[in-house]
Amino acid sequence: MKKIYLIVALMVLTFAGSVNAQNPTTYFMEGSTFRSQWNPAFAPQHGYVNIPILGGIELSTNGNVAVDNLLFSQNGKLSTIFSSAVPSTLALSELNNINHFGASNTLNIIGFGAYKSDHKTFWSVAVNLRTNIDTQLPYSFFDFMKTGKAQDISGMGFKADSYIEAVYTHSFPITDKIYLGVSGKLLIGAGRGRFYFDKFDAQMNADRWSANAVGVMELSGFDMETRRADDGTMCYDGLDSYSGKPAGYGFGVDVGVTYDVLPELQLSASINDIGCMFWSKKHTSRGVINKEIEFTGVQIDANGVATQPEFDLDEMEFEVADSKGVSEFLPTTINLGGEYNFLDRRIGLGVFYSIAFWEYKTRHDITASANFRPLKWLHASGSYSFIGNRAHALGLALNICPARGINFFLGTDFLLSKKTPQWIPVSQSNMNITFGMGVPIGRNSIRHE
Amino acid sequence: MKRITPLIMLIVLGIMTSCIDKDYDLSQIETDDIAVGNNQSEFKMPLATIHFTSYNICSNTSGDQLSLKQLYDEADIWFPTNLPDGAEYIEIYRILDSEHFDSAYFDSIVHALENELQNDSDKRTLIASHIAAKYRNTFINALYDTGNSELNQYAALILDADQAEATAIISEIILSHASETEEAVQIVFRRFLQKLHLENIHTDIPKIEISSDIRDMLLDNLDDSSVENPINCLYLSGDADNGFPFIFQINPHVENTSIDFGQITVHQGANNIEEIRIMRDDMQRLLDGATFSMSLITMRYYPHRSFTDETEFCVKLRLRKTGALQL
Repeated sequence: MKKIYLIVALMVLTFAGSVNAQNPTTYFMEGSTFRSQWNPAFAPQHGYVNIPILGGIELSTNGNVAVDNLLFSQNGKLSTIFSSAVPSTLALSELNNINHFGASNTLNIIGFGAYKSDHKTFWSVAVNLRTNIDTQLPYSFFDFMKTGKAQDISGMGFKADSYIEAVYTHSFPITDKIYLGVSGKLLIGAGRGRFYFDKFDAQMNADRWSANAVGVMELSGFDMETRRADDGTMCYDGLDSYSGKPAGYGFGVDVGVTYDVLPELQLSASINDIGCMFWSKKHTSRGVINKEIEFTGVQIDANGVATQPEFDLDEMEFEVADSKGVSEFLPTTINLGGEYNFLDRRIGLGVFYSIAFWEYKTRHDITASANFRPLKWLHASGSYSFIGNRAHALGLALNICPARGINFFLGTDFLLSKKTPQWIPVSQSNMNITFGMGVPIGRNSIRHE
Repeated sequence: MKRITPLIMLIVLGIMTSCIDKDYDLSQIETDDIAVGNNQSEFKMPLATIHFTSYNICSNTSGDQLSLKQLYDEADIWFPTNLPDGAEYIEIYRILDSEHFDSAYFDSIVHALENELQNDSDKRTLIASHIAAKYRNTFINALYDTGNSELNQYAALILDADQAEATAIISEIILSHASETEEAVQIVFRRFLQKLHLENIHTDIPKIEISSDIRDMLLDNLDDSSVENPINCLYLSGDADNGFPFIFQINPHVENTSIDFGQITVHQGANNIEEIRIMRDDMQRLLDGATFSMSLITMRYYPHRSFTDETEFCVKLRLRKTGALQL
């Protein structure tokens, strides 16, 4: 595998700059304008206009590898897991059978919402840029890279997509205790990439070196360079440029409900991102690879005639295949929550359970939260997620939500954990950070009065 | 509220920045040493397999290029059927005109031959026919050199005789004038033995068709000769599969490089060529195409084991790299 592909794969796994739009610490933040992304039945305390771009920046990662699984600080140098100076026993010790990493990101470009005259029905409009990344690398791949021993490497996959969503959300009371919310989303695809290898074997022994790859590639929204290989087949030869045109369209629906069982006890449930994305055939490049190359040495016969197979890794390219449109379900999530409030809602204790259906893995998360609302405009939450977290996964969120002025929100679950200077958690495989600023406008909510 | 908000933001920022670990500064990631394997790894790779047949192993001392098969078809005529002390082989290097010549051993072979010439009429006829066909003039001159008038007459008869007549005459005088014709037979025998010196073999190995990626993986991080306890090294080794009924002493090497395996004794069957360390420049020359050369000295011949023109001597070369393969 070429060095550049390895570095890119490593960077994806390390940075996964993307974020899941959803920081679990924000679930119970009543003043937050992000709550409706968890459950469209939720509404903030006031109407709002987000400051463009700064109105909502959400980053999160989810997986079972962290920075310190892939980067090693040794003798003053920061080396990758693939460095020859990193012993294989150390490098492989904390990897899993399947190492996966997912992330999604929401960047709010435009966002505003307001209450209707009843102070209970809330509507909002948002235009967001969303990016999802999901990747998996089997242990056998790392084992091969570290030890050089032949491996049966299968199930390497990478998927990323990015789209703009225009969202209209409507939250309204069914009864005094039950609120229903629906979000309708129009999606415009910016780009999509998917690489999957059913097989990616390499053998290096005294009689034979071989490389065998079986896989598929799909790329939407990008123009690809092609070349004709020596055997006459057309192969992809790298990216040419971003096409700059919508590569697909889709729709999505979020449905949510809240139920005030008691004045102090609220239950909530939602299903988000029910929908599909259709990536058009016209803007999708598709490639397949099913190739084996081997080198068995030069054979020189008694007449001095030499024959040898050519062993060129550049031949391991995706052949151009017939393009076809791709339709995919959005990564649906199911969220269930419950919160019990004390002292006139100044303190609340909540539990939140989320299931996210990703490309390569279904991810679960249980979060316990303690919520403090000492003042009407000052909210703070602390949370702890129980599944898949490593080291100091304490979430903290702060929301300053006055009726006038600036609405500021910051939530993260790696506040206390060790992080890189670039604020990527070192030992934590799951990370969330949410930041937003907006201007409160219009009517206030009377949902809890 | 206006006073509190910045204070709260500062506190949060302070907490977050207090846990920065500069050892993990992502802008300082070292990527130059990405490799497959590690310092304890070892990789083996096939390099070349060179096939030789009887036609490649040959002599040119007589002016005609004779294959090994041709040489030893004639040798089977000359060598006694029953070797001294019931031996199964002849140590060729001890009877050739070289630094290893053993006169006592040579004499024992000659003595055994002479005994068979006297006692085995088929052997006598075979050799007489061979002398008449290939070495008539040499034999005639040797007879003249004896100074024996009777043998001189026979020499004159042989000169003008056809193959059958010459064979009969030679056979007759070997039997009847054993002591006088011994020297003549030995002269012809020694003349034949000169042919058993084998030529060096040269084979061109073409450029190895591996991509530049693979080439760089093999060569990039090699330790040079000045490094004590080197980790990243290349070693060349091989196998010599000898199908011929001989023990050879070979000296395989690659021209214009320091790749030299030294003297190796090769028995019939599989033989190991011990590995030698090769340096970067030599490996580059080998990958770019080089000439593989091999001198052969015949140590031992087993006359009762047959071989054909298709019998092969095969040298297989392989590479071993220690340390990681640099990407």
